[in-house]
Amino acid sequence: MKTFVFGIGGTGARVLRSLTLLLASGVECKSDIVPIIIDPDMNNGDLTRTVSLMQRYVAIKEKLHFSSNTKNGFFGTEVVEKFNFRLPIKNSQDITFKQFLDYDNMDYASKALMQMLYSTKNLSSDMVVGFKGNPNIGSIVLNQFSDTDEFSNIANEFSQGDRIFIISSIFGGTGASGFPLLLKTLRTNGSIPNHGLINSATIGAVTVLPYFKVEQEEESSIESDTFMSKTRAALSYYEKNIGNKIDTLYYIGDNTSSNKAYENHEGGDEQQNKAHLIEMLSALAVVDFANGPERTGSTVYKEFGLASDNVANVIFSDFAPETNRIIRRPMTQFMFFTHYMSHIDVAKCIKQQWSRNYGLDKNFFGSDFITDIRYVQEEYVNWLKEMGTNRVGFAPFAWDNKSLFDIVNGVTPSRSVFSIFQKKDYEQFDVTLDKKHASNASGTKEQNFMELFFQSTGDLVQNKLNF
Amino acid sequence: MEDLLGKIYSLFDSLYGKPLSEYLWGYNCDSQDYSGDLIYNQLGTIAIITAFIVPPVYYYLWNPVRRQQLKYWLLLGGTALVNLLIAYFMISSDFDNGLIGDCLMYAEGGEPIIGETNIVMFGIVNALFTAVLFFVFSVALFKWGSKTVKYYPF
Repeated sequence: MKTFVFGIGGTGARVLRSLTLLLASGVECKSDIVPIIIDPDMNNGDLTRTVSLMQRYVAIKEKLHFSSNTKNGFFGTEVVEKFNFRLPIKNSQDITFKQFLDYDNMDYASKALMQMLYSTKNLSSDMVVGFKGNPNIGSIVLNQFSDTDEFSNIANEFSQGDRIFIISSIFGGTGASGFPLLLKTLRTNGSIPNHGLINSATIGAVTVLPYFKVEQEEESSIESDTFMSKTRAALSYYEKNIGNKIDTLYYIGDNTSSNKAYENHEGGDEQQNKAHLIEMLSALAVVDFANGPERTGSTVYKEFGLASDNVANVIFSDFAPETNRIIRRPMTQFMFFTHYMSHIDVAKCIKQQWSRNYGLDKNFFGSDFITDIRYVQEEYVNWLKEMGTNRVGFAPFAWDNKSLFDIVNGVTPSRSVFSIFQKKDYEQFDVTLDKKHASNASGTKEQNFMELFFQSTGDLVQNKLNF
Repeated sequence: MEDLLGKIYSLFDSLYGKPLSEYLWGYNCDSQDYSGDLIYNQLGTIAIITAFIVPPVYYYLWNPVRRQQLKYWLLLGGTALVNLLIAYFMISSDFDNGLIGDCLMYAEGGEPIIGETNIVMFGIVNALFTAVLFFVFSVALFKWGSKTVKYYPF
């Protein structure tokens, strides 16, 4: 089964970044994921960073095989690359909105109508960096994305039982306008390939309500002050037009009053917002949807709540047990894996019994596979650090010089009377890796390497942290 | 079989001298026979036991995962050194207590033929013997079952 995940606009790309890192850590998703980003701003920093991450994920996953004997959960979900994860928007590059509308060739009445609907600034706006928070522009431009060969190709891939999920923000331009249009196309368009299957598919969406604000910039078209009014307008539209078309709708947002404002960039490579807990939770909505039931005929609305109130920096214990069951163990395992890889140099690695057993030599540790893993791990750390410094923050791990097993905030590692005889930190990690060898499945170097680290980090998390 | 250890040590008796070797064989100057303690066997047994006990400590208890090679050789060297000292102090004690017969201690002209140097040299031979046993036991018996250092010393 596949879940086609459409990430619309900058928020869509950022949620997909979170989703990719959660899947890399081993968060279980029972469906293959086909991420598709819809954003006219092809150079958007959030988008390029996410695409680059997903490319590495796919490259790593290609080297791994999963069967009933496989214990490894890292990179366990298949992420399918289609068109470099991007769905192009026709005729939106290097032209103004006015040119897109062919305004100059309109008759007088049509021009008058356009002037009533759009400001002069709207009409002369270029679309290189998207719709700059104007859903009224997006609703016109995005209305034709199903006309592309790429969309037809994606539709052709759709099979019985596949699902669709749409990620969008409600307070910007691209997401707010793209979501209803995409949903309408998927539910009612009878001319797209596989329309019978697609029109009746299980469709879910997460609508991200305002959760950040941007600095006030006179030159910028994006103003935080308009987020709420745009949200109200869009919600009003959704109430009448969305409910009957969607099976599961997730709403998520945050009180932005105390949040530190992001730098104001209309788009382009400078728009690279710090990761936010809301994006990670939105990514969990994708997982929840993909692992959830088939359509029942009525719309299910879902929201997310924390177990603790008024927390500035969320840690694992602030989540409900249901959330922790999904993320705590894999995220911690991947953190251990990341720590090991960043603290232990290759010269030490290749001297270990576990690496020699598998023939994991200097060449292996210099291979593209390891380079890709290091890239994803670096992104994982950046992502966590960004979330930790945002508001509301998510800081499950400590970054100071505590010992390896003390890195989970709010969790004291278990110690027995025999602990004094045990090795500490990375030496204990190596001993665990060495001892894990015997129970490992045979396979390629990459496969064995990943199995070994997944099983060992699993043991360490179990024995030291009891989860 | 009783003579095996002595024969092995005796291969190197040119390093510490025949007279000391005779003493270690248990030669008694008074009865002019080999009725004394067979010290070769005593020291050889200690060497075998230590060389048999210490490698499992490295392979199954210590389980080093950093500087494994260095730690192996240090442990081997340490075990050998202990056996050198055991041999040295055991024989020195006999030497000081006059337990080595004069027929072995002095040449016909009266000059001493067993001295400090001979004892130290035997200690070195004993240490080398221990080191070889340590290495052989490690490679032949113990390293293969180790979970962490089966590739050491090689």
